[in-house]
Amino acid sequence: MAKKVRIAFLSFAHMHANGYAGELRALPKGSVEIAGIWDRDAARAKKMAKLLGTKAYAKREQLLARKPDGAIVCSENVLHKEDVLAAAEAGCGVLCEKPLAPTVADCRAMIDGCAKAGVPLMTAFPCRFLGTLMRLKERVDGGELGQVLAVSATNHGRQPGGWFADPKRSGGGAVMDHTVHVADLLRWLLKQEFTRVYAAAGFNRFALTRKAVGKRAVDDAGLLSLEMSGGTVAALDCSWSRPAEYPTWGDVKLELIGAQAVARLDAFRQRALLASKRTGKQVELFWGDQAQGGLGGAFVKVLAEGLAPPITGEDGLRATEVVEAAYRSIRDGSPVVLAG
Amino acid sequence: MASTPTSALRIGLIGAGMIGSVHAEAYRHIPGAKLAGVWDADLLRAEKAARPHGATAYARREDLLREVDAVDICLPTVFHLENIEAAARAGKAVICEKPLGRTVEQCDRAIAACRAAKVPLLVGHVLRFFPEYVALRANILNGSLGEPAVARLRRVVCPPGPVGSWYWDYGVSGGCVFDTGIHDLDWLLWTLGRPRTVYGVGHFIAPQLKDVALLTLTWSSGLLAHLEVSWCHDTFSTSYEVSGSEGLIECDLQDAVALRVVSTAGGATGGSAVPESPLAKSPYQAELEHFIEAIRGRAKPIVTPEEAREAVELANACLQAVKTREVVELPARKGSRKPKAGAKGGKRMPAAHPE
Ligand SMILES: NC(=O)c1ccc[n+]([C@@H]2O[C@H](COP(=O)([O-])OP(=O)(O)OC[C@H]3O[C@@H](n4cnc5c(N)ncnc54)[C@H](O)[C@@H]3O)[C@@H](O)[C@H]2O)c1
Repeated sequence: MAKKVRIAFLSFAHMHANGYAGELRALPKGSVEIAGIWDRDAARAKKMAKLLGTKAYAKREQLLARKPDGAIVCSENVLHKEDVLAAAEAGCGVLCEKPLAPTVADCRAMIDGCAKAGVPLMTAFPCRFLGTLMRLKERVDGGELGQVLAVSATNHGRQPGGWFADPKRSGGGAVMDHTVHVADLLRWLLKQEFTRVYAAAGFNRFALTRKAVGKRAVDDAGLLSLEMSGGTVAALDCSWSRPAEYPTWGDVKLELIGAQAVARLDAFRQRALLASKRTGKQVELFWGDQAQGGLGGAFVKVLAEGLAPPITGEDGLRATEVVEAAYRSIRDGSPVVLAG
Repeated sequence: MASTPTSALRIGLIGAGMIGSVHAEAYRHIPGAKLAGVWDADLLRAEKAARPHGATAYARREDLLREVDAVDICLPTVFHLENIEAAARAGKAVICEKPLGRTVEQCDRAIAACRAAKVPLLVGHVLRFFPEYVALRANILNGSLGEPAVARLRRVVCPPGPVGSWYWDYGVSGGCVFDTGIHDLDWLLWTLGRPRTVYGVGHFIAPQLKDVALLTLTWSSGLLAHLEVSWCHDTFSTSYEVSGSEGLIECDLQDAVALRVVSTAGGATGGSAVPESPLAKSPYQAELEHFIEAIRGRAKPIVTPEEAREAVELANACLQAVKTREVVELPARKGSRKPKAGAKGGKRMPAAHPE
C-alpha cells in the first residue's frame, strides 16, 4: 500500500472545502491525514480544526513547514494564486478550488509556478465526478448522440453572499462563479475548445443580491453564447436567480442536441421533496451519488501514486478564459473571439 | 357566445394543411362560426378538410370569396400577403396564421390593404391563448416576481416537414427561429416589451432536417431573455422559467402530463403511453372564438396587426443575428427601418446559416 498522504487545508472561505474534507475522511483508514488548517480567518481555522480533529495554524508558512504532501486551496478567488504558489514552493501538490483564478494571466502564473516546483496542480471541477455526468460522458463517448450541434445549459444558483458578492475578493459575480463548471463540462464531454464568446449580464437584479452587496454593483444574471472548435454551439445561464423561497440551491442542467439523439441531463434530479415544519419550506433532498472518493479522493490518488491530475491547471485556465471573454463581451456588447 | 347558428359567421378556410385542419376542427365547436368553404392549391386536401364539416371545397379562390363572410388563411407564410390582399379586396374579414408575413414589408402591405378595405385583420399568435402562458404573463404583471430579470423560454418540435417541404426552404419559412420562435418572441413583446439587442448561435442543416438556435435578448431595463428553439427533437415540448427580483415561476410541459394511460395489453413486452394534458377548450378554439367576437365588434382584439408586424421584425432581427453572428440592435422606436448589425465584434467565420 502507498504511504499515508498528508494534506493541508489553505482556507475554508469556499464552502466546498467542507465537502473535500468529508471526502478525505471517508477514504480508507490510514490512507490520508489532514495535516492541519490555515485560514486568514483564524476563528474559522480553529472551528474547522476542532471539527476535523486536526490543528489550526496562525500562519500559512507554519503549516507548510510541516511538509504536507498536498494542499487544498479554498480561499477567496483572488487569493488562489498567492496560496497556490506558496504551497508549490513548499513542495506540495495542489488542489485549487474553481475558478482556478479570476484572470487567465494568474492561471498561467500558477501553472508555471507549479511546473517549476515540480508539483501537480489540479483544478476542482467536482461536477465531473457526479454519477449523472459520468454516465452522460459514457454515452456521449459511445457516439450515441452523433455530432453534437447545440447545447443548452444552466448552472443556476442562489446568491451565495459574503465574499462571493464582493468582486474585489471574488473577481466577479455570477458570471465568475457559475460559468466555469459548465465550460469545463463542455470541454470534457465534447473534446472541443471555445472559439467565440458572447455574454449579457444583469447587475443587482435579485433581492438577495441587493441585500448582500450594499452599494456595489455585482452581476447576478448572466447569459452566455458559445461556439466551439468542432462546430458545437452552446448557451449557458449562470444566474444567481433562485430566490430564498425556492426549494433548492440551484441546478446543473445540460441539453445536448445531437444529430442522432437529444440528451437532457438534470445533474441533481435524483431527489426527494420534503415539506416539514422543521425545514419551514419545501426542500429537495439529493440522493444521487458520485465517483468513489469524489474529487478529494482523486487528489489523494494523484499524490499517493504520482499520477497526472485528472483535471489539470490547463483545464482551469481554459474555463477562466471563457469567463474573461464573457466579461469583455459584457463590457463591449459584442462577441469575443478566442484562439480555440 | 350568444350568437345563434343562423347568424353564424361563414368562414372560408384558405390552406388545408396541418394547421388548417386544426382550425377546421376548432370551428365545429364555435357556435358563432361555421366552416363554409375550403380552398387549397391541392383540391384533394380542400375536399378532405371540407367534407367532415359539411363545407364546400372550391377549386378557385374567387368562388370561395363570394360565399363567405371571413377568411382564415393557413398557407405557407410567404403566401399570406397575396391572400390577405385578395380577401381585403373582396371586403372579407381576415384571420391569418402567424407569422403575418415573411418580411416587415409584406406585413406593412397586408396591414395597409386591410385598413384601406376597412376589414379586421387578426393574426394567430396562439400562445396568447395558452393558459400556461397567460398565467405566466399575469404573474409577471401582478408583481409576483418583482422586477423581471431573466426569462427563459424553450420551444422544441420535431422536423415540421420532410426534405423539400416549404419549411426547409430557409428563405420561405425562416427556419425554426422565424416560424417557431416567433411564438415566444411575440409573447416576450406582449408581456415584457421591445428588446434592445438580440444575439444568437445555431445550425440550419436542411438535408439532415436539423435546425436549432439559442438566442439571447436584452432590454434597456436590464432584463435578459434566452430562447431555445429547435426542429430536431423527437416530440413537441415547451418550457419557461422567469425569475425576478422577488420570485420565480417555471413550467415544463414534460412535467405537466396530467393523464397518462399506458396500455398493458402487449403483455410483458410493452405498450405505448398516450400522455395528455386535457383542456376543456383548446387554445386554438379559444383564439378563433375570440377572433370571431372581434370580427363581430364584440371584443377588442387581443392581437393587433401592428403587434404581429413587430413580432416579424424581431424574428427577422434574430435570424440576422444568427446568420451574421453579430449583435443586432433593434431601432428604439417602431419603424420599418431594417435592424442594424452591431458595428463592433470579432472576425467573421464561415456562417453556419445559408445567406
Ligand atoms: N399557430 C400555430 O401553432 C401554427 C402551427 C403550424 C403552422 N402555423 C402556420 O400556419 C401556416 C401553414 O402551416 P402548415 O403547417 O399548415 O403548412 P402545411 O404545409 O401543412 O399546409 C399548407 C397548405 O397550403 C397549401 N398551399 C401551399 N401553397 C399554396 C398556395 N400558393 N395557394 C394555395 N394553397 C397553397 C398546401 O397544399 C397545403 O395544404 C404557416 O404560416 C405556419 O407558420 C402555425
